[in-house]
Formats: sequence, structure tokens, C-alpha cells
Amino acid sequence: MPLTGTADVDALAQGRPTMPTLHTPPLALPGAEVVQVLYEMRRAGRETLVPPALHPTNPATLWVLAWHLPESPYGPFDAVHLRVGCRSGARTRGFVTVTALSGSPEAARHLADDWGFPVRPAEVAFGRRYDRVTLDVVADGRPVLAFEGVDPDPLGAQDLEYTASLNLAHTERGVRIVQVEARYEIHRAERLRPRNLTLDGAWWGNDLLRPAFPITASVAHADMKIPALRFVCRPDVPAHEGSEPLSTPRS
Amino acid sequence: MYVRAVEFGIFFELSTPWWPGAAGIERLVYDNALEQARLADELGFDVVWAVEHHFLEEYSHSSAPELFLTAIAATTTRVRVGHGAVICVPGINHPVRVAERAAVLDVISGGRLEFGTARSSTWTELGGFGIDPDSTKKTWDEFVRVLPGMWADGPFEFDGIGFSMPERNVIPKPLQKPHPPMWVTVTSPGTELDAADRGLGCLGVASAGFAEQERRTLEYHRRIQLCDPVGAVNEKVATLNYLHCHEDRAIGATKGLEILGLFRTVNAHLLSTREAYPTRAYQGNGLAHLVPTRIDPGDPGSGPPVPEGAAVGDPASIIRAVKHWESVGVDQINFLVNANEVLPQAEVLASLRMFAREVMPAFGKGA
Repeated sequence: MPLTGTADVDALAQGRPTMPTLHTPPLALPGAEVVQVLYEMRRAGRETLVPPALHPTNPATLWVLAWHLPESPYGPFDAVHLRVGCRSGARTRGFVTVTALSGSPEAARHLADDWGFPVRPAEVAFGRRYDRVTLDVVADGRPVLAFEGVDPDPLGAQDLEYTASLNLAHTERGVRIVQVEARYEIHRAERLRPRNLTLDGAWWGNDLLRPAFPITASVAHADMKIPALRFVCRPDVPAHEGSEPLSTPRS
Repeated sequence: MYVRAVEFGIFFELSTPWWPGAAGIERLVYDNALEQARLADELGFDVVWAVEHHFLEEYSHSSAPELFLTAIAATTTRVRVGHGAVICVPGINHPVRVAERAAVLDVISGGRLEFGTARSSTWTELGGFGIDPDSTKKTWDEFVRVLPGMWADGPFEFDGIGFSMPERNVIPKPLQKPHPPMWVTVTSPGTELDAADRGLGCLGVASAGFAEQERRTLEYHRRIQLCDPVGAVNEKVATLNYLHCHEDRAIGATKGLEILGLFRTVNAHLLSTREAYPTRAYQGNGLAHLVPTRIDPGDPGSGPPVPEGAAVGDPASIIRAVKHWESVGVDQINFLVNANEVLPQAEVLASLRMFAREVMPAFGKGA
């Protein structure tokens, strides 16, 4: 039968952010450095990583999406989202397990309260050399993620795709999957050959979150914008039943 | 305007409801498909196509279509057998083996082979074989240029990018001369131009709606007049559709949407190359599907709308849809008639019979 998520929603919702409102105004994040890393995971247990509203990909995939943001309304900050590749209905999405964030406690609060990102404090370090890009996350005094992508290869802006993130959060409508559709105006893009990705699955939400086979990685320079939320979804039923459009906020 | 009597085909993905321990279900899917193909032969359908896919659980368990089509060829007499599309990537199929298998199928079928080419559009497949997505367009181009040479009388040699070979005689030779009609699978906009430039038929597996199809078809026919053909020119445009024909229009549409909805869901599980691997070589996310009518691509709740021109409903509504496709220059309409066995076999066969009885005569077709 078609794959569906089987994660227990109540257990998954523990510790997730509480959003005072779903009508957050758009957020502009200019001059971002965006690193995206894609690995296959083992298929065993993949359906347990996402709620019943979603279904995992075949093969199971793990996406690291990292933002190095020199400018924001909350000051500079870095964020690394670990996402499980999934589908909401027929749509391509990434279900965020944890967002590691450093540099701005105010940004941490806003990403959680305004957009539902499951933020955990960490030290995030981006590195860029001529022939490689590195990403390191340290938390609780130990490394929880390390990545190295080598041999940057220029791409056209239209060759890169970013998928919307899905955050499980407590909202005024109850526990909902919040769809965050960040937009990227890409000025420079390069494909990377992923050489090493190590991560501590338990810190990122589940021991099953283990990279098994590298697919690709990329780095881009982009102006980012997170527009107002348009959709949330009940986590316990398929998206075509549980999707809830949000009314457009008056600006 | 380019007009030719429209042909009807069945398009077998062999999508299969699948779960651990689902013993016997693949046998049922294959048996049902073979029965549908035999009935299609009796009813006067023009062609049955079988795709080649690998690892695409539920979506398509058609990993050895040449074997499936051999079984069809051996049990039918009239319907043409569409080997399409063969994945023309050397790491998946060596070109010599492709030429050999196709020729054998043409011989066994008595010269009824249609030959489709493709390069795979999912990371699920390319990653499984360790294929570099950047390379597939180049190697596909090489395949379509060498196959007619391998099928021609006499020996063949080649020094290329994806493969090279010293002089050998590739045998057997196909029954059809100079070779079976060749096609290319078209999922992304623009591939129809690749087809035209090489003199290949346009095997559409993603429909764009009437207006877009007409635009693409006109451009295809304009461009193929100037082609540098790789072999014998095949100037046909085929498109994919869903079929469920029922005397009650609402029931036909509802059943048809069941096929469409399930096929779309299992399609969505897969990881397209475009999504997984940034490359200029893949500009579309295409696998076989009908592009939905205008809906918000951000809306996860949008269910399967009735695509423009879907052949689901009663005979009158299906005749209207087919006439519209015919009017925009489509030469062949290939139907998905079930998905994951969501409809009982008896209903699928009844739909095919009603289509043959009520719809085909309107187009001068039928047994």
C-alpha cells in the first residue's frame, strides 16, 4: 500500500514550539549563504520519522539545509535544519526534525514562535575554501554534525531547487504541520561533491537519522524571503484531508 | 494542418500494490495486464506499450519489459508491441544488448515492434545503478544514433563517449526494414524538439493540456521537416491519458479519478533527478502523469483534479475528448487503464470493451 508516516503525533509534538499566531508577516533575509546536503538513509523505519499526514520518499532521504545569514532583523545568525525528505499529498517537502541555531537568541525565539522551527541552541560554523565548503555544528560540548563538500562546480540559478519545510508546532488550531515556503533569489550557485557527513542522530531527533549514501550538495548565495504562511495541515490524516488554507493577512 | 487517423494504445506501467509479504500480487498484476493486452488485440487497439523502470516500488514493477512484451507478442496477432521506453544509459543497458533484444522482439512479433528510448528521470533509478545524471543526455544521444547502424545489414563499429566497440555483426536483425519505428519519451518541455531534430516519434508521457499540446505538436512537425534523421523518420506524436469508459458518465469519471489519484500518489513517493541532483541535464521532474489543471502548487491538500482531456466518463464524453486531442495533432493516445489494481479486473475489461464498441467506431477503428 502507498507509504505513509506512522510517527506518534503526541510524542512527536512534545517540546515542539508554540506559535502565538499563524499570521506572521514576511521576513526578508538578504545576502544568505545557503548550503544544502542530500543523503540517502536506510529504509528501515523511515515511516516512523514522519506523522501520518506525510509520506517518506523512495529512497529514504535526509536533507541538511543550512543558512548563514549576515543580516536579519534579529542580527546575524546561522541555522542548520535537519529534514526528512517527504511528500505532503503529492508535494515535495522536508520535515524538520531539529533546527540548530547560533548567533542570535532573538532569531532563535522568532524562528520558533513565528515559523514553528524546532530550534535548539548550538554553535554553527560555516567554512569556505577555494575547493571546499565545510559545516560544523557543536552542541552540549560535542560535535553533532560535520560536513565537507568538495570540488565546487558552477550551476545556473534555475538548476537548484529548494523545497518547503514542514514544522510540527502547537498552534491556535491545535498541533499542526506548518508549511514554511522560503523563497531564494539565487545570485551564485555551485554543486558540491559530498565527501563526509557525520551526525548524531539522537541529538537531531532520532537515532534513525543516519546518512547512508551521498547524493549531492550545493552552496548558493541568495537573497531569502520567508513569505506569510499559506497552509497548515493536521498531522494525523493525509494532506488531502487535513490541509487547511490560511487566510491572507492584511498588511 | 497535419492530420492522421488517431491510434489507440494501452500503456503498461505495471504499478503494483506492494507491502512486505505481498506474495502473489505481482503475478496477479502481470496476469491481469497480459489479459488486457490479449483483449486489446481482439478489440482492435493499435499498440500496447510497456515501460522500463527499476526500483520504483508500487509505481512501476516493469523492470524487464522485453520479457513481458515477448509474452504479449506470443499470444497476440495484430496489436503492435511498444518497447518503451528502453532506458538508453550504458550503465543500465549496453547498446548492443538493447539492439539484440529489440530485434528478437521484432522477429518474434512478426514485425510489430515500436521502439521507445528514454534516459530515466529519477534518482531512485540512476542512483541505484551509480549513474552520473550529467551524462545521460549525451549517452541517450549516442544510443539513438548507433541503434539504426546496429540493426542495418552488415557489421558495425563505434568509437564514442559512453561506449565504444570494434567491428562486430549485431544479430539478429529486425524484421521491419530498415528498422522498427523509433520514439523518444517526452516528459519535459523541449524534449519534443530533440525528437524532431533526430527524426524520432514523440512519445508523450505527460500531457500539457490542449493548447500547449497543439503548440508543441506544431513546432514538432515544423522542426522535423528540417531534421537530420538518425534512421527512418517516425513523425508521430503520442500522448498519455487515463481511460475508464462507463455508460454512466459520473461512474466513469469517478473510477477514472481513482486510477489517476492512486497513480499520482505512488508517483509522488519517488525521488526525481531534478529534485535530488542539481544539474542542467534535467529540467523537468517528469514521470508519466497528466499535468493537473491549474491548481496552487503550494497547496498540499489539492487532490487530483480531472485533467483536461482525460478519457474518463461515458462514451460521448470520451469521444469529445479524443476528437479534441485529434484536432491538436495527436496521432496516438495511450491509456493507463488501472493503477495498483485499484479497479477490479472485470471493470477494466468492461471499460475496454465499451470503449471499443462505443468510441472506436467514431474514429474508424475497432475489430
